[in-house]
Amino acid sequence: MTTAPPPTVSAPALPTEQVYLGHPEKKVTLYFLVTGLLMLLIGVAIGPLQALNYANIDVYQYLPFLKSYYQGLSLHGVLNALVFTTYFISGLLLYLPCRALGVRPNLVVAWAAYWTMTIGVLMAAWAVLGNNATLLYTFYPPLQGSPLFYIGAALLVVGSLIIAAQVIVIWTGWKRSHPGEITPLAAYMSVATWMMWVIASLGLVVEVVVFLIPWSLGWTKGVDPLLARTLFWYTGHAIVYFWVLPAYISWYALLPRQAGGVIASDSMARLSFVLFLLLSTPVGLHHQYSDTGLSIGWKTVQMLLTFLVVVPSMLTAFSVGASLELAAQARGGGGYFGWTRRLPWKDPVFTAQVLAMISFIPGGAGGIVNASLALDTAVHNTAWIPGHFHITVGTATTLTFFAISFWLLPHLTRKPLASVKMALWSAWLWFWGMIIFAVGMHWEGLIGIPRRTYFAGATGLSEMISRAQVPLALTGISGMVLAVAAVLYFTVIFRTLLGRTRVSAQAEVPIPFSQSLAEVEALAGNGGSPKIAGAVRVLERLWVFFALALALVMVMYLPTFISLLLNPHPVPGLRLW
Amino acid sequence: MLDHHTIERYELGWLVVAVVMVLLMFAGVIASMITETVPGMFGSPARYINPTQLSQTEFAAPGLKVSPDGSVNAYMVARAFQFQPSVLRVPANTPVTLHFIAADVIHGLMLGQGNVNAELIPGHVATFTRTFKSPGTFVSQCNEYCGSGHQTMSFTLIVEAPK
Repeated sequence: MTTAPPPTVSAPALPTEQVYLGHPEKKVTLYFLVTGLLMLLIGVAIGPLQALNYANIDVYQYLPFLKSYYQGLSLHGVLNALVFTTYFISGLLLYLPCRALGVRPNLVVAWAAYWTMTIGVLMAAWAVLGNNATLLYTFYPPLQGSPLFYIGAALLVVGSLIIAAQVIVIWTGWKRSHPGEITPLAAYMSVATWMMWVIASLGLVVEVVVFLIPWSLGWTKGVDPLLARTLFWYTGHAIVYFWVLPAYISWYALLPRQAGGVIASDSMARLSFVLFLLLSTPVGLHHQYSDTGLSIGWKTVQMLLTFLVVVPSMLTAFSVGASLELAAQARGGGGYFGWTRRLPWKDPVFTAQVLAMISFIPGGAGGIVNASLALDTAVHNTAWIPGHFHITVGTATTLTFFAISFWLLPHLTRKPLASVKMALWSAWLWFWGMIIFAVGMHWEGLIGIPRRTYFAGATGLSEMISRAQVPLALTGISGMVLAVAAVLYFTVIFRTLLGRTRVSAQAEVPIPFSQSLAEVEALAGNGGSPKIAGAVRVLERLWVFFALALALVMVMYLPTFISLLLNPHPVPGLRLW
Repeated sequence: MLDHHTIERYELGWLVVAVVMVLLMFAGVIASMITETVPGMFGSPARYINPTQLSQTEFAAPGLKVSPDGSVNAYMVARAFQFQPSVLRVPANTPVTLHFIAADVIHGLMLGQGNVNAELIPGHVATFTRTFKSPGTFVSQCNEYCGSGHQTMSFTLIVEAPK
């Protein structure tokens, strides 16, 4: 990779125990990451079938193990968006803050979290694979699935909350033993992300545990679908920040060093994470603009808050861009744009992350459209929406996780990346595949093509399809490009993991924690530590911002929840697939 | 090379740009809401009817109803996997109020050029008043997944020239 010297191969191969010696948490981290990637492999394998559906090519009729397009779509959505992300983030955001703080996690707790999640995922998978939870990723009641699905989903979330609690506890312990010190950036951001998730996951936990599980077991007669939707989207939008913030952590705190530079602004990075902690959750109503029965006033207020999330995103774009420019200058680059040529484009760890960021620019812009009460009417429930989230979570997050896997798996296992070239190809193809996909889907959405529709049997689409031939073909083609990208990516990953050579401890890929520009300047000036800005001291008090975030969420959501709970409209469940 | 103070000053300027942009976007959307680009956003009262008891309401016999005072209302019921009626004919140049209700699970509907996009949540009536200026046809596929026959569920609105 960029910083490691040529690996010296030790022969014979080290026994596994020795690899984890000194940092036994490496093993549990590896399990989280690899299990997540295996789930992604299954989810991604179904993707091309969905893409071909848009090109009006029905592969499902030939697949005996999938009963319907909708069962395939349920697997694709649940595995990629919920299961893969939760595993990968739990592993990453346990390992990074612990290493940044120099604290070893309690391994019993970490393994308990892993097995809680895994038992949950096996239960839910059993239900979905048996066609007993063909509910799609959103599982809106009154469509009613097997209790195994809901219990499994709850266990998945509980597993992630165990990790959240562990990281927050470790951080508070570190604060006690390091009075007056400022939390290292990667740890700070991880703690802020977990605090956000603790608040954000409440909606899903209440929906599933209080309402859906008892109902699916037959203990209650009905569920209020509007209340359930509101609880779902309370978590459902914040969860996208749970997916994207770990990518931001990599861009802010790791990428500068991977590019050969420093963090441009440490304090602004902290500010943007505090803004995400405050603003990620009280914005979920923007998924429900088209719902009857909710107040237009609260929808409008949450629209303003959704727009405000633009601010930390713009800060991230600035900061990360500046860091990259500093890195390029350090490598001799200059000019307004000429510096970009000096960046390490041959390194898949770097390139995959920059491509992820580029995809996030149109992704964010499209998000503003979705968040606008008026414009949303033109795109709600159309193909535009999956077009949007495939260049956000599907690229900005996923491609960054690919980049992370390219250095973190070699770091954890001491096995060198099997093929740098193939890794690079997989990143470029994934990027272009998703861009083509997004162009097709956004375009179709503007024509009015709905999402989540089995085209082979659709009755009301012929006129729209005739106007959407080009974008529908693009969607189909993109699925093929992505299939090739996925084959290359998983080949690299499995060849790496199954490789037999391990490098020596000295040649281990380091964790690329980056220094900030202020730190470097201070060291160059007088050799002392940098003066800590007052703003950083204020931002350091994450518990205060956690409390503020909780208060803001209550103000933004309690009136809606109280009125829904006071006027319940439960309806019985149905299985219609 | 820039020092960190200069970069942070630029970034603060960028922060101000972002905040101003957000406020302008918000003002823009509010303006389009006030001018009613999207019908039914304000003023349509929240109304709930128990979906198991539609037979005692105006949704008992879905379709177009012209009141003695000349006002035109249309009542549509969405249930797996059809809209009732599945084809609705309305006159052009007349204010028409469309009422939709879902009877079983969540369905959805979009009349693209008419700026109507609704999640039909069981029992919650979705109401839109609109004057269709010229004759034409709108076709909407059910746009919220409702089960194995979801793709066969569509609604056609035909706007006819007054006879």
